[in-house]
Amino acid sequence: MRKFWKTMLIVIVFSLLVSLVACAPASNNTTPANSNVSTGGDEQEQKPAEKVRIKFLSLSSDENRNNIREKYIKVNVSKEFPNVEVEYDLGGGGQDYANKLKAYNASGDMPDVWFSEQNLSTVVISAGNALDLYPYVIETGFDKKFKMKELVQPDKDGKLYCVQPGADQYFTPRLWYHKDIFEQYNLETPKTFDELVSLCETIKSKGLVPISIVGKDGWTPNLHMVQTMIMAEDPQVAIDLANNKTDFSNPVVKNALARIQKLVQIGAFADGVTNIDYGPAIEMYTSGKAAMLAMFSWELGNLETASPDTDFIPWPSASESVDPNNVIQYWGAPLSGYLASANTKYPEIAAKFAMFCAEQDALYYNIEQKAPTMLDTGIKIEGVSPLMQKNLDQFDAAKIKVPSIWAATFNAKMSAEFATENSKLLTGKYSPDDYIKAINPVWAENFN
Amino acid sequence: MNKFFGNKPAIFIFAFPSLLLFTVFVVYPIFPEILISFQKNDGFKSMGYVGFKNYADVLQDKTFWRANLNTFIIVFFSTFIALPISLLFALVMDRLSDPMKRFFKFSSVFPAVLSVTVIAQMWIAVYEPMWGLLNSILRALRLNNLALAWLSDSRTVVPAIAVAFLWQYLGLNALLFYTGIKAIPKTYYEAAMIDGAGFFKASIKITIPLLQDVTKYLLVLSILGCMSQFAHVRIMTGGGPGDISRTVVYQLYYVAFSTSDFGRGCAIAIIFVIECLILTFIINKFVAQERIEF
Repeated sequence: MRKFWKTMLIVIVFSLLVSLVACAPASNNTTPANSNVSTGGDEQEQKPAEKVRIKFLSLSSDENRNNIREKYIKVNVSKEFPNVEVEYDLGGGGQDYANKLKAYNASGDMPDVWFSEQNLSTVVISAGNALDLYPYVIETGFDKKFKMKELVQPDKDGKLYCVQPGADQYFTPRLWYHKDIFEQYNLETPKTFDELVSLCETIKSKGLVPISIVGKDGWTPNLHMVQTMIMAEDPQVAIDLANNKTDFSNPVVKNALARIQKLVQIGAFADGVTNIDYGPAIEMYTSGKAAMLAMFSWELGNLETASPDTDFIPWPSASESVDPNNVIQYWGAPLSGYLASANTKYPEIAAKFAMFCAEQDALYYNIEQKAPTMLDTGIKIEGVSPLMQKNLDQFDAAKIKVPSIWAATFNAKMSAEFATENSKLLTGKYSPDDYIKAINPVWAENFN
Repeated sequence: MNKFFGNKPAIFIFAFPSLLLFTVFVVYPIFPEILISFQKNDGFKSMGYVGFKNYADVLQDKTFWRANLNTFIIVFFSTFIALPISLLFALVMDRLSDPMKRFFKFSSVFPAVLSVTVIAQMWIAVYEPMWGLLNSILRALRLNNLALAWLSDSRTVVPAIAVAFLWQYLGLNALLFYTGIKAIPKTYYEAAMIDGAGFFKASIKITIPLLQDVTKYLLVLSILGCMSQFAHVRIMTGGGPGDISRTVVYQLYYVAFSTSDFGRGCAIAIIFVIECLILTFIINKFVAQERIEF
């Protein structure tokens, strides 16, 4: 009997050891030596005899990302990579996508290629799970296709972890509106925040939602509205925040938060706004239930198609010294784009697929949205719609261009806590003081 | 046969596969988790031991206590509202004709086999403030004041999630009660009828006391199920607005994965394990200590 128990004990201990090994992070098999581009010596990797399978994780909650994947990447991949089979992993959007990517990152078993924003990219890079793409970028001449060379320059450590289409640098938050609704009710477009407030009250009295926003996880305030409201009063404070020269207790920031709270309290957003996701927010505008939409210009093409009466106004200012036409916030950050896994079995294929995705991304914006990109696809953009031209003209004319603080500076923790605080702010019952008290300690750690 | 099952090695051989899985996937992970809970750890590497700091931080965090309160609100709904309703359904089901019984059995199991995502999305639609079913009914009844943004209002969001979660298992619990009722010998009821007992008296004096074992089983299952509530919260509100509807498990997930603080996340997990052990002990101590045999 004792022998039996001993045998059983050994079996259990052995099983635990096996599970321990199985649960251990995947080893990084991409040494600096084999991360370099092969120059013919490694024929097997360059031209695999059998189809190799790679996994690609992409956002799947917004139409642009879905169109890029379905109409461009999927359609053209077989021509460019005949020996590659791509498994598409749809990661949703917002916090769902962030958490999925973080779970992959924690396991060390990353998809071969994925799309991510700056704050997620930094998490993956610090864990050593991102592949240095620089050798592949140089080898393929991908860097020569960029109008803005900074986008393909290596980081301080001499490595380039992300390739991007360069469309982001043209994206800016706009306040879109239905011209028909404004004409029907004889409404004037607002130039100041106070005019915006009274406009919202008028629209609400007509039974319409004044401004549609993505409230779930505080998306709209996270990505631009807090910064927009700061810039409406003093753009320099936004620049200082981006450079860690001030914090959230700055009076301009407090006023900005109070303005968002005011909009919530007067009913400028839909009932239950904290639970409205990206798709429903867009639909609320395109279906005419909302008179205005707070959204980035990456939706311009889709909005024009779904609601031809769409126009936009720059965000109204909250100070006489700020000209709304002169100040603009732009999206885009060095680490927002396509990354490849450092642990991929096929580093060269993954790197080339990441560059391919960036090109398809740029093609989508050039062809479908008639939007320019920093990556030169060779497509001459013709037939630009008047609305797109107006958007580009206003973008170019603005003298003060401030990068997105969220995209360019937030780490994962700051991003998560900022989302929590913004979601609370959208209840209308959360004071700017409480917001600042909660966010400042996290902000203090953000640049460490 | 009795000799075979009385044989300890035979018992062990049969129990071994599940024991092994339980050890590898439940018992074993607790040990590294305890270790990580004493570290500053971002999920990829340890930045040294910090003693009980993570536990102190968690216990001083208002959000953690709110998450506990939310979890216990759901447990309360489950124990004091959903289980009695399930029992009532089971008692009614027992009195129905055979075709109706078949219909109710099917209806009972149906929500439980649906995906959580489907259930959560359906309830999101029910609670939608502008065109949702609930508010449409309330407005039709001219109860406009009661038509709220159910999932965005701090007063209603947790009960609203609890209702969606409990609705899913209401029928299944009723079915389990029903199988318990079927196991009670008919002679008890016949004797009670002769003594003049009606439906209510027979239910209170015979059925409910003799369902102790099933009740205990359902209590443990339901309470621990509610304690580990995550999916409905994730899909329906994402813990929001802000952190208002987070449960303990959601808070654990948020701290570990969203803020990359695995040390604090593991401290929450260990506190949660202790909470669950205490609850299980209380249930075992106070509910159905003696096994009833008919």
